[in-house]
Amino acid sequence: MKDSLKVAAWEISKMLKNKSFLISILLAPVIMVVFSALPAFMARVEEDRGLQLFILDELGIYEALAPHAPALNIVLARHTGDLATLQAQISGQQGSAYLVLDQKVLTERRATIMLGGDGMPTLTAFNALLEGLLRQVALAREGLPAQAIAIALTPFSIETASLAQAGDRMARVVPALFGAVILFGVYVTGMMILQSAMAEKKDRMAEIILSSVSAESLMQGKLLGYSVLGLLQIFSWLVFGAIIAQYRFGIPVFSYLWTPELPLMLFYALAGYLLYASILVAIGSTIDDLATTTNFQSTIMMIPVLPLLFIQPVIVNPSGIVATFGSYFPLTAAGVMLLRLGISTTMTWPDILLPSVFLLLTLWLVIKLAGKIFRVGMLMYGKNATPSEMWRWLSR
Amino acid sequence: MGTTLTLHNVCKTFGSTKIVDDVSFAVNEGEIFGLLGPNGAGKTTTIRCILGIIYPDDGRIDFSFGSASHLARNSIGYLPEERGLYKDVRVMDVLLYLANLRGYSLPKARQRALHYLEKFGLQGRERAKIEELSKGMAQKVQLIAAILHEPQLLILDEPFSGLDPVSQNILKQELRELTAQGKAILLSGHQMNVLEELCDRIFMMHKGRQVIYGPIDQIKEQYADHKCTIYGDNAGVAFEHWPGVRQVTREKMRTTIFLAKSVEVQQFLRQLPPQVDIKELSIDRISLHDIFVSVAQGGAENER
Repeated sequence: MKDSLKVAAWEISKMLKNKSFLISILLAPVIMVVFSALPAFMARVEEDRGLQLFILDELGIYEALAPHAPALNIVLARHTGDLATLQAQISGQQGSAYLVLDQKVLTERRATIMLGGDGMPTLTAFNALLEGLLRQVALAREGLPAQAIAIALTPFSIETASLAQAGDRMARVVPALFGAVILFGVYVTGMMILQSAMAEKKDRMAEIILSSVSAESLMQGKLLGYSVLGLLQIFSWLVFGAIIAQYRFGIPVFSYLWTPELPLMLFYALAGYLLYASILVAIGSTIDDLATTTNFQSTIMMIPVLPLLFIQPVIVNPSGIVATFGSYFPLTAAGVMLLRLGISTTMTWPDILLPSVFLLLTLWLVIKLAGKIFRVGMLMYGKNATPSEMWRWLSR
Repeated sequence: MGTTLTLHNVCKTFGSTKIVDDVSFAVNEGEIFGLLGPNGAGKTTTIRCILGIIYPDDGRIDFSFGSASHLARNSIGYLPEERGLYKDVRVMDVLLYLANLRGYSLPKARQRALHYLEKFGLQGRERAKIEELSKGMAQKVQLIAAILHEPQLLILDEPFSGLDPVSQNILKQELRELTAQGKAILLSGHQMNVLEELCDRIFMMHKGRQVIYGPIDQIKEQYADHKCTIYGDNAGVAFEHWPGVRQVTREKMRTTIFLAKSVEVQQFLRQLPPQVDIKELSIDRISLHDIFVSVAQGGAENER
């Protein structure tokens, strides 16, 4: 254990002195924010240039449309000439369009905004406004009084709620998002530990280290060291996210996280991390060159993303067959249980404890098997190990 | 003089191939012991067994400071043939890490590291990253890492390859000083002249088995054959058929005639026929290099 602690301390200090790791801690949330907000921002820049929309109005809607147009960044113009002249006028003009509103629109229940140039501007709000006005005209032509039309056009809001999940919705959403952040952190940390094992081989350090400490101590030290680094990473992201959520949306993230489920979530996160990390560190020890990994090795590296397959079905029914299967299948248990603990309020103690027993038993077995592969894989130079070689090491 | 390391009938098999086959030898305190053999002879596997990196299938390994099952790794220093160090780490950091792994006091390790860095001409480089050093410099750092924690047994695999002559001399001097302090050194390599110069005893192996084992002087005595090297145009002379000639090698104008132990050198010289073209002629005892080549080609195995 003493040797493992030394290895762990080394891995932590090495990474904390590594600029790219520090940048990844700070930049990852910034990159996530930029990538989620930038496309919408850039689209808005384009839309801000506005759309000139000519309307041939035979239904008398123009006056109702015109007051709303500036807010929708549309410059409306009534066209009183013939259609052919208008088509010739806007043809090839970027940011110009026309709309014919005639009897045909009412009978076919279809209106077409014809663009002069390329592109597809976002007109969702304008379309909704136009549809309401067209319905209004259609109903008026059927002889309905204005009050009845207003009632008919007022939308109903239909929601889904659960007796089991009464109360603040954010109290369920925030822990679930926290679970997702943990899973992402587990994946990133797992990849770091894989690269660490590969680097040890690439730098030809494995033999020197293994002459000083046992393979088991080296592997355990790496697992321990990177778990600390992973927690540090997740904690940094959490603080960053909490600050934004607090100041931008007024959501008190930490108070939502401080629930009885939090220790359980942390347990599943840690167990899941150890499971994936053991598999990845063993696989890393069998790879001499990442560019020539076998299909088998590449497939194994995908294991940490398996829980993604379960997100949709677990959200639909957190206590359903798929969720239950995902909770007992060791390779998805951590992710599925993190999600279930976040969104479900009907889980019983057996629902929570039995998967954890399965997960711990699997973890024990996987760490043992990973140790066997790691011990031999680290000393193998010049080629990637084949599945049959790994099987032979396991069966020794 | 006590024994630091003893191997008793060590065997190791990978798959169906016996890589190390019944190997036994001992390394004493205060001696430099040579472990020799051609590529694939089983030297690295033997060393890995000694270090506890892999376990022998059969046999026993004893140390004066513990048995293989309770191996005191802190008492062993190791320089593997596969050279390397963390590239993006500072020299002092990696030296202290390796010393720490071997349970050595960090202040003392820092002090000794500075001493050895200066000795090997790397003073002022302790804060440099390994990737900033030349290959030779990095190798010196690795050597320092192997000896920094004052090991009882030092295992060096090809320590001289890649070192310039000045550094080679410094290392030779250092190894002699270490043996004077009673340390045992196991030296593995192919540079026969260096091993011949440094080693007290050698163990030569081939295809996993012992071929030669003993004090280097006795071995040279045992293989006390002579060789006659003639420089001249002798392509047409069939030395091979002469009595007492064991083997002949030709390289352009140079012909080397290996004589059987029974042949008297003076008599051989007197019997040289006049048609032999002699521009230069020398008579030498065969070297460790010749013995090694002979072993690698399977000769010594038959001669034993």
